Amino acid sequence: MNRKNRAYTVLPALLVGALALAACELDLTDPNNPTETEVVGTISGVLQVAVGLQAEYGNEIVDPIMVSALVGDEVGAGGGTFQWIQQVDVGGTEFDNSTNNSEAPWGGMYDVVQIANVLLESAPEVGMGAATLSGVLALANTYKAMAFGNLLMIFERIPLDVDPTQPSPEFATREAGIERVFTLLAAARQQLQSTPASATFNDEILAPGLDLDELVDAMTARFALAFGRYDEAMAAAGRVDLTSMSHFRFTATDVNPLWNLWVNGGNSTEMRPEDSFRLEAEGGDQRVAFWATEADIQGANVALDAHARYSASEASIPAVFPDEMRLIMAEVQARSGNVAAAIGLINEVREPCSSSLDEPVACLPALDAGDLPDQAAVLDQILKERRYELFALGVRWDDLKRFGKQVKYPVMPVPQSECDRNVNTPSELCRM
Amino acid sequence: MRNLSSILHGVLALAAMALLAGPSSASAQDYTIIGRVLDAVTGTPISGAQISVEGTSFGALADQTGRYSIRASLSAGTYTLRVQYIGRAAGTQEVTLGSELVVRAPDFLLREQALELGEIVVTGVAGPTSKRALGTTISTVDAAAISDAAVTTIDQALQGRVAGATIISNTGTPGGGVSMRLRGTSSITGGAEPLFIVDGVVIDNNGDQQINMGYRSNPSNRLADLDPDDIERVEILKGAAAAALYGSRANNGVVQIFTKRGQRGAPRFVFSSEVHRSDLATQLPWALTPVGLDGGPVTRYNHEDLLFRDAWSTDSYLSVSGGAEDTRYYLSVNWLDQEGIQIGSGHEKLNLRLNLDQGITDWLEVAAGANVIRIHTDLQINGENGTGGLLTAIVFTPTTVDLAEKDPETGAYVNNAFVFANPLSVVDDWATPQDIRRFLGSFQLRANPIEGLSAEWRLGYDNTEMETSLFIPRGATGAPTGRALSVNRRSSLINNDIVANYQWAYGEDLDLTTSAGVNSTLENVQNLNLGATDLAPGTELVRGAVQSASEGEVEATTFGYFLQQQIGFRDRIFLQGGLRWDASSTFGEDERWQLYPKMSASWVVSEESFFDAMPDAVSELRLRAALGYAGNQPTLGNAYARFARYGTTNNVGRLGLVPLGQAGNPDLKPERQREWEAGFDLSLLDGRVGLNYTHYDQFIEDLLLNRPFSPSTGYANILQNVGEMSNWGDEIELQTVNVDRESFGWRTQVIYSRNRNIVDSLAVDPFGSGYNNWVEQGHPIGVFRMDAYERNADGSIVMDDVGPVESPTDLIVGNPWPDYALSIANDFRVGRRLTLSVLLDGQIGHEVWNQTQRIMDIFGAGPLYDQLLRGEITTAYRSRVQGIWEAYLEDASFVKLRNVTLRYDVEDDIAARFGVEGIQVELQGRNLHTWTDYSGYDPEVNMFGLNTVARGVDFATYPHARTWSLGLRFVF
Repeated sequence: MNRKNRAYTVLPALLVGALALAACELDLTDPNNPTETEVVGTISGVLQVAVGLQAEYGNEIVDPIMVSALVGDEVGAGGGTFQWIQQVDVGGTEFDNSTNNSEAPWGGMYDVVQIANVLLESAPEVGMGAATLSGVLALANTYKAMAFGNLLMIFERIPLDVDPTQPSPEFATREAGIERVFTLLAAARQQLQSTPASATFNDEILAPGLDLDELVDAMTARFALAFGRYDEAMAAAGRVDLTSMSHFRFTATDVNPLWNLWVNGGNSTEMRPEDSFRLEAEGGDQRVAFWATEADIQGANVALDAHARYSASEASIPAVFPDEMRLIMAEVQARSGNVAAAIGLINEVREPCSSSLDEPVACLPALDAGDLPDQAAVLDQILKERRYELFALGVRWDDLKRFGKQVKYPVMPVPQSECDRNVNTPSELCRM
Repeated sequence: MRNLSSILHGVLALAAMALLAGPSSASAQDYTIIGRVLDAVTGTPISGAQISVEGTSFGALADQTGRYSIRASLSAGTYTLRVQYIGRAAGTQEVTLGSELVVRAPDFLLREQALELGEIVVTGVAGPTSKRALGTTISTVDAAAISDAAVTTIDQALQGRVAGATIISNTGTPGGGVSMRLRGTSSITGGAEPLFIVDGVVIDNNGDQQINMGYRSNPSNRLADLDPDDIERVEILKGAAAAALYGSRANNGVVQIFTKRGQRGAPRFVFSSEVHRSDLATQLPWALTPVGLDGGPVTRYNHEDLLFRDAWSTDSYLSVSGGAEDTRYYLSVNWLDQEGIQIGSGHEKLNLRLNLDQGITDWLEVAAGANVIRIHTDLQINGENGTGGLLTAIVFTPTTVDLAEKDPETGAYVNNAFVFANPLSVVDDWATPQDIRRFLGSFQLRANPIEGLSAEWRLGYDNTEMETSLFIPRGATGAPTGRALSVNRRSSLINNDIVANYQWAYGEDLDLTTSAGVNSTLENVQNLNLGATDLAPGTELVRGAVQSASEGEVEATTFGYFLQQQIGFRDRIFLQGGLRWDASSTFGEDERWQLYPKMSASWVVSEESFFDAMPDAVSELRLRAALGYAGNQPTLGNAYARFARYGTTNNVGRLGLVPLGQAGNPDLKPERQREWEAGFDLSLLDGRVGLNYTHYDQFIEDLLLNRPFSPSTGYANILQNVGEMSNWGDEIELQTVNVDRESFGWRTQVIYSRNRNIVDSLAVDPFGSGYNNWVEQGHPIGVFRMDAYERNADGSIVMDDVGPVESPTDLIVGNPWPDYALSIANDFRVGRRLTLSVLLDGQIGHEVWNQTQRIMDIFGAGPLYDQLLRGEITTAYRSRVQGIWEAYLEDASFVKLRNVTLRYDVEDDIAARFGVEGIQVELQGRNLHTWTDYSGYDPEVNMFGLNTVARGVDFATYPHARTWSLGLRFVF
């Protein structure tokens, strides 16, 4: 073979080789984690996001509860806790909004909002059955409403229309925020009424132990009461079945976040029931022992007891709570001047000494008009009952404010990270 | 592994090429040219010298006895042989090929020379290119500095030898790692270590610590696996200007390592054996004043004595090389059995290599290399790991505690370490082994089908399996039921290149080289993590009642084309231009293809006629300049950051999916570096003085940073190309041949380099890394920011009646990067046989934060505490100082007596009596002395290993050993 022929051999071979290399695969996808396109493009992916939404809420709910419980008088900081926990436990004018008092509930609830948005956008596109779709959309609207509701119980104003591609969403007025909570809950209710959720949704997607129709009504009642929409609260509470209860459940691999932070997290995040919870209870109130166990512990600021309910990793958190509904109705009645009706509801909460539900029972004597002579006395009694029924449900701080009691802080400032990165954050919201 | 099919295509194409290769053309004959290369003054052989037949692609390397043998298919006629070797003047010889097929050329006699521009390099250029034609500086380090140094890893051998390289031994752990930065740091979140290539194979230099066993105190990296004895030469490209042809992997420079290959001739054996003795060079300032705080007598114990020992190691090497007809081979085995100076630590390494070169026809050749590595390391826990750290335990234990105390009933150590497990029981009962099994393979097919055209196909494969385990027995502190972990990392890197070069001439004056190539790299890493608690008794494996496992995999591909044109005008003016166009799977689809140009110019001024007017003392002068662009890909951890991805979560036993905190960035692209460099090479006094000077300037834009999102978006952050950073500096190399007589020779090499770094733009808030390294716009990357002294306007520390006052805010108070690095190497020769090399290596003007000492002081074991015992300070003063971190930030400038080697070449007749050709006896010392004000073990410390930002922190880090070694080498 002469040299020219060699060149004729080598050059095509090089070309073929080069082209073969060009077949090199550059569109690699992550084998460890599915991409958003993969997830939201299929029915099964969207349904798993619906499960993820509930998991996210279940994990993040600890943060608004923690803030409400610390600013309220439910739990106190342990002796070795982080400075930020001790600070908000004491209260005062100095406040660092780069701490988890502000950052954690904000970030956690917006994570929930974002996942709900993914569902609202993608679920109608993947071609799932109408009844399952109805369940998914109702779920997304309900959880988004719960996230906004929890935020508005802690912060003055919040952004509503958020989008991962827009780092600087506008802050809505407080009124618009509150309105949105009820728009979302109404949409969920309407959805479920017009197209009841499928068995697939109820059995496989919705967390065991939850009834979505009941949850929509119960949350409507809770937030309506908190935001002063008493008629709506009354109507929604009235729709809730008072013979059943549902819970946010946890398992060994998906633990109760209150236990995890307060008990399991070690000294630095240890938060326990304040002694006053036990000491200020009416004699014989059996609900105290449901939540707290007497212990001789001096916390950072106040004496502390041990957790009872939340000393277990798998303890569930009440979601739809009949006694909460009774107390909501009682409060609305009392505020409308129907003192007798209110006392009747209060006694329904006080008297039982046993329950088939996983709830605390007071086992206390009934009260009458002699015990509660006027509206103010009835309202005071309702606040007391709420304290012992609804321990660590995230409502205590708001209750104290609604009943005109002295509180450590009126609201939390918007977290510093939002102030830094969202140019539309009103600067007055960034300070206490 | 989906790219295997394309590799197969490449193999088939080139196999076809080989099959079609017929017999050689009629006019050429197969000649064998043999000869020797010797030192002109002493007559000693110069092994490794490169000999080539000018105007052809035929050539060879001289072996240990200076002999070479070139097999060349040439027509009869007169040819010029050219020889070159680092540190020697180039030489030429005429050789006439006639009817005799074996032609003996006259001996080459080479003189020592300080500067050699003719040296050929191949890294960063498409084909072999003389340094004189390049506008960039490419540093080369040859075997004499590497395989002959008493080191066990290659990178240690490069310390003090390369201008512009900051090479730090991170730790003294046997098999421990070295961090190398070329011309400063070029990234913030990405990797900053150079790309390492062995014989064309891109290799894995992973520094992941798989199990937290004080991982920050055992920062190893995989470059340490290679055997320095096998190294022939190292070429180092320091920045974008030189490395542009490596495209989006070249921001941090490229280090290419060439291993030894066989020469034609009878089998030649080299056997060497070294014995090393290592010890702890310095002690920490323990609080040993035998009184208590109340002044009463107290027994104090020096725990350091319990943990360190004199360690003995052996390093044995056997190679056989040779060749016949068309086949050449190099086969080597290395066995290293290393004891660590800390009790319980050790390292065993078996390294086998086979390099094979086979001529197929007179224009086609294959070359293959296979390297099998098996390593077992017994690590010890140190550093910040509290559970079982050895040094950690003693710095956290007051010197009043007797750690050696045993329970007379059980014979077990009393677990009286102040905070953690007793370190002696950890050494006895815990196990922390690491096992590495590695295969490096290369296959090359080279063709010279017609005059001037050369083509090469290169396949490289690096497969590394690394298993790190931790076994904590039942009953240990913090793990009552025991704990066993095993992390397996399997990585494979495949690179596949085709390169073609065509050399041609245009008229009398222009020599042109046109090159083109295509290159692909596939990197795949798999991790398997196993864990168990409630352990089964009687085994150290991961077996127990509670088990866990998880698996992960990352894959990334890079694909690129390149084109390069070189123009040489009368062998004095050279211009080079190149383009690399490449794509990576890690980039967003719209940003996938990136273009990296480079251009350079070199002018050998001394070739010009007007240069004759210069004084005779100036013998050679070259001016050079270059500009180039290169990129840096996201790290493997961010290989999929272009996607929005979901992770799993659990809700009441059901699997759910939620978005990951990091948002996807579909526009992800490489960090991009622009570098220019310019300088000169000057040769004086007939080549006895050589001076190189280079100034460089790098600007890196599109730096990848995790930009935090406003939390209302529901995402935590996104990886974006937002930052900008600069590096600039100077490199000076001065080489002199001071004396070169038969009775005495002396040469000196001085290397000075300085780098300045500044973060020009950081679209995110300033952030910290490690303990107190800091990234802030307007400051060098990784400056120290910490609790600082309150200072007066004149810089003095504000004092109150207790002591120094702490500043209310953290301040930037230091820099872990040196102002400059300086090394001085002196090589002496007495007569023909005795040589002495002395290497001094220093880094000046940086700080190390001595957390080790701070903890010692806090826990009643350090010098401040000792001052308190001696009544020199008050308790209040001590607490005050311990709270000011700056009090433990120390000047870490150092000069090290890095290496001293005394070598004697035994007389031939004595060697002959042992039946061998040559015997060398070598006495070496490494890290013999360190001149420094630093009060810890060693200012050369870096607990964060390959971390890009965190650096210069000392926290119970395994100290470097001082090592003496005696070696014998037989050649036969």
